[in-house]
Amino acid sequence: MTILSSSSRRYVPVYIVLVLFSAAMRAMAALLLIPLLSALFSSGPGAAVPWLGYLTAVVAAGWAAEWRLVILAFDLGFDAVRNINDKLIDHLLAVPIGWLGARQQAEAKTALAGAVPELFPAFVNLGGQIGISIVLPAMIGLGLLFIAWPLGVVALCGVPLLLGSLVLGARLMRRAEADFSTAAEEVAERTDEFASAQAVLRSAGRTGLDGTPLGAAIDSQRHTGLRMLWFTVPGTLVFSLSMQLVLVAMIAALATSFATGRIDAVQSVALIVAITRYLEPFTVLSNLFPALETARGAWKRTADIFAAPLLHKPERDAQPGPATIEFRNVSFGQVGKRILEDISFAVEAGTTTAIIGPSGAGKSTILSLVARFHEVDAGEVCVCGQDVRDYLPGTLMEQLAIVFQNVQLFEGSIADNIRIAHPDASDEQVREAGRVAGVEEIIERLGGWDAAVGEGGSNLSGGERQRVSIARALLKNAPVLLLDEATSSLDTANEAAITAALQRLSSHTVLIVAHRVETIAHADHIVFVENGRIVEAGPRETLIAEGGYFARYWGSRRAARIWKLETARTEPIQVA
Amino acid sequence: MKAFGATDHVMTVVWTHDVTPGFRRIRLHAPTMIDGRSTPTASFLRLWAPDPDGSGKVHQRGYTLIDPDPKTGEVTLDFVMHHPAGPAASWAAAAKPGDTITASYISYTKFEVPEPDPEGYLLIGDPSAIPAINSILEILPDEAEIVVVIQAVSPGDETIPVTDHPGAHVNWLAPGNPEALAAAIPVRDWSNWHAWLAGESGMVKHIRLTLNQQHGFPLVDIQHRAYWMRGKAMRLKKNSGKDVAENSAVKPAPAMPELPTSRPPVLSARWRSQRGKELLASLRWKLRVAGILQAMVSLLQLVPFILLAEIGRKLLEGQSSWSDYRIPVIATLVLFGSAAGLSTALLLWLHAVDARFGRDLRRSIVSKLARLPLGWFSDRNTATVRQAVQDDAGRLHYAVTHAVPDIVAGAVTPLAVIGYLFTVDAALAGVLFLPLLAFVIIFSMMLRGNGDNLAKVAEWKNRTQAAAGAFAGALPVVRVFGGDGRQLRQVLAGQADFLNGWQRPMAGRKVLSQLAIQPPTFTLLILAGGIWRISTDGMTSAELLPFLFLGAAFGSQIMAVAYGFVPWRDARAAASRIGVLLEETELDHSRSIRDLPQGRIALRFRDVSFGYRSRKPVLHGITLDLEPGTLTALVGPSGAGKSTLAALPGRFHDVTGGAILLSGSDGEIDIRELRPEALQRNIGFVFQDVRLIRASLRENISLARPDATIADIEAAARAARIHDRILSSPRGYDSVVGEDAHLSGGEAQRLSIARLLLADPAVLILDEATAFADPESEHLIQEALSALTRHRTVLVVAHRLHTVIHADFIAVLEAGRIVQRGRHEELMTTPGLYRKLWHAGSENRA
Repeated sequence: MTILSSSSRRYVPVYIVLVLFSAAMRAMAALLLIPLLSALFSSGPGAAVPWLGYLTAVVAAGWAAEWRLVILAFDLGFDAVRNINDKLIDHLLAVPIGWLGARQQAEAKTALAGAVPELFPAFVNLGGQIGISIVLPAMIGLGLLFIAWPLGVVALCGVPLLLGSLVLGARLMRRAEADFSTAAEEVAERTDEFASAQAVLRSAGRTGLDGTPLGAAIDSQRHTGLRMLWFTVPGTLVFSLSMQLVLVAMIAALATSFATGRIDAVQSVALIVAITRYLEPFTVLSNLFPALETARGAWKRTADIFAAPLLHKPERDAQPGPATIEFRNVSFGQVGKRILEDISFAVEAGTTTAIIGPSGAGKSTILSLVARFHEVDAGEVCVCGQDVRDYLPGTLMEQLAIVFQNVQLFEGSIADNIRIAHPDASDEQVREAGRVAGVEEIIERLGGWDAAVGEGGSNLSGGERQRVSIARALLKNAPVLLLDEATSSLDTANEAAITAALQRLSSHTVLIVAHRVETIAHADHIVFVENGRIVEAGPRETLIAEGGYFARYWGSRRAARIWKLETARTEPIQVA
Repeated sequence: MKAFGATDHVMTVVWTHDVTPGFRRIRLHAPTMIDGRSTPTASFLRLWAPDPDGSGKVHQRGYTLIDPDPKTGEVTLDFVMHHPAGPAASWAAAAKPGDTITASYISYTKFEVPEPDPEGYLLIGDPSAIPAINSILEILPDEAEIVVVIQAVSPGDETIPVTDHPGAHVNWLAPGNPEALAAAIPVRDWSNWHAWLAGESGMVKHIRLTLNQQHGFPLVDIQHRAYWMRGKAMRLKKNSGKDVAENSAVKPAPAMPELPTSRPPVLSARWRSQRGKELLASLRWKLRVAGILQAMVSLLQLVPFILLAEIGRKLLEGQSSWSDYRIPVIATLVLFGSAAGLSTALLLWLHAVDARFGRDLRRSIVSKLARLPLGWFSDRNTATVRQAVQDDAGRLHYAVTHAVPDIVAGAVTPLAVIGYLFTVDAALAGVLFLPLLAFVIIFSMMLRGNGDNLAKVAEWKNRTQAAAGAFAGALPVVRVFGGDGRQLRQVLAGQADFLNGWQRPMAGRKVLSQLAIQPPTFTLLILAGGIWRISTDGMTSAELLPFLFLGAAFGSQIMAVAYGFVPWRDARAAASRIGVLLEETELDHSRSIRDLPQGRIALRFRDVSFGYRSRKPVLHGITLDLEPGTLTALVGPSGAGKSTLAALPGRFHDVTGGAILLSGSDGEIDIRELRPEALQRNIGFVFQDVRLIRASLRENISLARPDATIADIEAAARAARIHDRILSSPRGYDSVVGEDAHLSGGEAQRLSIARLLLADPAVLILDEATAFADPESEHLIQEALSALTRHRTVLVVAHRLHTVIHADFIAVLEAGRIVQRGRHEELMTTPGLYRKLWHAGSENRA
């Protein structure tokens, strides 16, 4: 019961008692029909009037209980959503940063924005209704034991049967929907592909559907839609058939009791009415299923976030020493795939080390481990002489200035986005950092330092976002700089910003994933990575002289830099 | 008692300003109203204007909110002054700083910018609509085409200022009747235009009818507001107990009388929004049959209860032989069984109908895609396709399989129950309506406080969405730089407090309304009423039985009617979105029947102009010749139109002026006359963003030439420097993209170059191709590109000037025009844009 705060938890027993009492009153109301109708049918209206009085009292007591129940549900529901929201935020602030991908961020948004509007009605409206509807038939069954025991036995046996068939039906339906949405997903993906590869497909003359994967996917979705009936039909039938089965069994039990003289004709009629009361809650439950499914979805989104692992927190904060970085036999993998294997290297204070290697080699992962975006599987990563796991998260981050490829901006102005690196900085300091990082050009385009960056920085290009991030690093002026040079959004302004930042921070300890010749030229040391392993490491000049991996890479990069596009001409050009 | 109990806000005059003698602008301080919630365009408030005769009565008028400023809590209202002046105008005429007036706020009537962009906007109104028209004109994009028709009410109205808009044609009419205004609406093809009209109630009704019946506007493409009522302004009074909202904007329109047709309608006009209806129309008779079958199922399910009552009656009469019960018992079982059987059959049939409908729908969407111009496939439009194929088609699936049976069952069951019970005993059946009456009364009492709160719910939803999005989006930043999510916590707590403060006081009434329609309540009423009826000899005891069997659940049944309608409404909206997609303009292939000329091919732009919207050209009079085997580079600042121009030879869009020609040794041909396959095959594109399809690497290379031999494919892969990489994949050339072949950006680029080498296009267009995705394999891509460009006619969009200094010809583009042309050496010796660009680039590299 961690979804409730401790002060609310003591009301849970009250809530349960109220559910049981409300159900008991409804059961009593159903059972009182038997003496009432017996009196009415055998002795006339006058004899029934006292029973009507009892019935009124019971219904009124039930009303009072249910009234109180809903008011209590309000309090508990509010407490629950508030508590869940707070804990969600706490949890998101303690998961490894590397866990926060685009999908996780989108899910976190949905969960946070949806808790109040989706979970609250579920807590308030569904909980009590479902509780009462489950308990009520069992209580009627218990009561029937004393009036006509065969009927009571059938009623009590019917409860698990009917509840089971409800759950089974829902499972079958869910299964059918899942199959169908898998097929739909396939069609959607194939359509995406079809739409985005139109130019290619048209040049191939492949614009028809017959014999293409998309055509097959569409046909297969139709077949899945039909096959789904094998689940849908039993799903809807299993419950209504069980209802009829129980009804027939109850009528049979009733007939037996009547035939053996246990009950008379008048009681039999009254019992038929009681039987309809007994079956009703099951119909209510089956009608509540769609709402329950919605609540389940909302709850699952929340639970998925709570299921994310948390970073282990040390008991005492470690004391940072001189600005160094060291990897000792570090291995790291994700979703069962090894990304880094036995990585060991050290960066001395005040030096610059470049990580080089083909794409997919694990270069960016090395940087993210320094910032403890993920936990290593084996070995240790040390920053400023201490294992990153021995720092409180804030202390580690104080040592690091981070410029990564996928720069996240938050909604607000460009100035706000730079200032977050050093909240006490003056306007002049913010602007100075922006100037060096080439942010001024963006300011000019967007119309001022207060211009909004848009949701997630959507008003800025990838390269521009990285420049904002470089400005942050300059403003923060932390002992260690981690820089992941962008590959896809390298424009000349970006290149200039990176160069300026490296010059400005040349006395700091720098670990950089580098691609450009100019950037690599800044590095004292090179770590060459391939397939998650270090294949070569050492001072840059030494490696060039040795003629190994790095030397070859260096040569090809320099060649690429001076490449020019040409076409072998066979005719003289004509200037229009 | 005010409608929906909207809260009153006090507004204080800050200043007044007479824009013209007939138009007074008043700034008001209203801190309780302008409190940070959003005020959508053309949303208005209800002003309670005091009666000019000083009687203390107040009259309600709608006024558009202008320039609301949450920081100061101020807002501007524009008053149109009439003679004789109405209550609001009289108040405004005498208003001076410090005066106060009360108003209620309505935020949910706003100007909805239609999606997708309409062809144009038709705005119609009288002077009372001008403030709203002005705020609409302010938000419409400059390139929008707008027709404004305003009919004056009093002479001099023409001086009221209307906001300037480059695309707006404003027509003023002299004061007159609605017929005169209707006659002044231009007759033209209004296809896919959107209409907005506001002003006097009778005029609005008349014009709405005219637009619909004479100009063909579908009702969904007309937004309308009635601000005032001629001759009735004095009748609407606050606290009169008869507070019919003067603003009919939120009310459904009354049924349409037939309008005498004075002009034939423009029959050829078509609106995208109508296509959705046609989609569902194909299902109409099937859904009708489904509805009838479901009605039968619902009735069949009720009959056994009637038979049960019959069995009960016989028991009470003391009949005890089995033969008396045999028929009703067997009939009960048979009916239960057949209802289940029929219902299953209905379900099966509807699913079969749906599966076929869904397949046909998806196929027609996909075939449509194949006929759209390539330029249509922007990221946004691709997302639209995904929504259409997955989400919207899914909504239709639910509507087809479930919505109709749900609605029919929800309506038929309670109606049949109450109908049958009336035949048993009308008086007791009437009693069953008491709880429903109680429910309606309690429910409407609950609604009373909701006017403002419903708007606030939406407001809080937006606020929490924004705060949650901001928090989630900034999480990595927050985690790196520190933060505690305080702002989001506050917003979420605020939302919970608001809901609590609003709903909690109503919780009691809410429970009461629910308890009123629950079975125990009905049972109690039936018994009390029944005992009274029996004791007064109004009915027999046995007649009570059907009520006990059928009447107790009546309340919950009647509530079920509502459940089916929401999915049905969603489905119609989904159908309409799919319809819009199916109505997108296709590429015209009617003339595309010729083949490529023989010999080496030159590409010629002849006075080409182009714009995505007709009023906003992007390219002007481009003439450019690309001789066979030459390299031409397009350079220029971003936004100059380089990529747009480079895409035109591939018919990503068709030119809006001029022509693009391919010329060979035996003549030349307009690209629009070339067979589509020949065009795609002979004009090759290399983009930075490469699309591979989920198929084997071999298929990806041989896509354009399925008949290519393995040797050809390998030769192309070798020349494109991707052969070795392919061999290192698990299944070599048979590895499937996305499954066991995961290519980096640069590798995908080289694969696409191999594809082009095999396709062997005469003309090659490179866009962004030299801004590589993958620096590690940059030199490999460069070698591949060098192999590809050899001996072809090449157009390259250059972002790094130094890669094209050897180009045979350089065209410098600025703002859609070629401003300089020549070779690198020539351009460097002349002052101009090229030299500027070159110097800017080298400075940054230094």
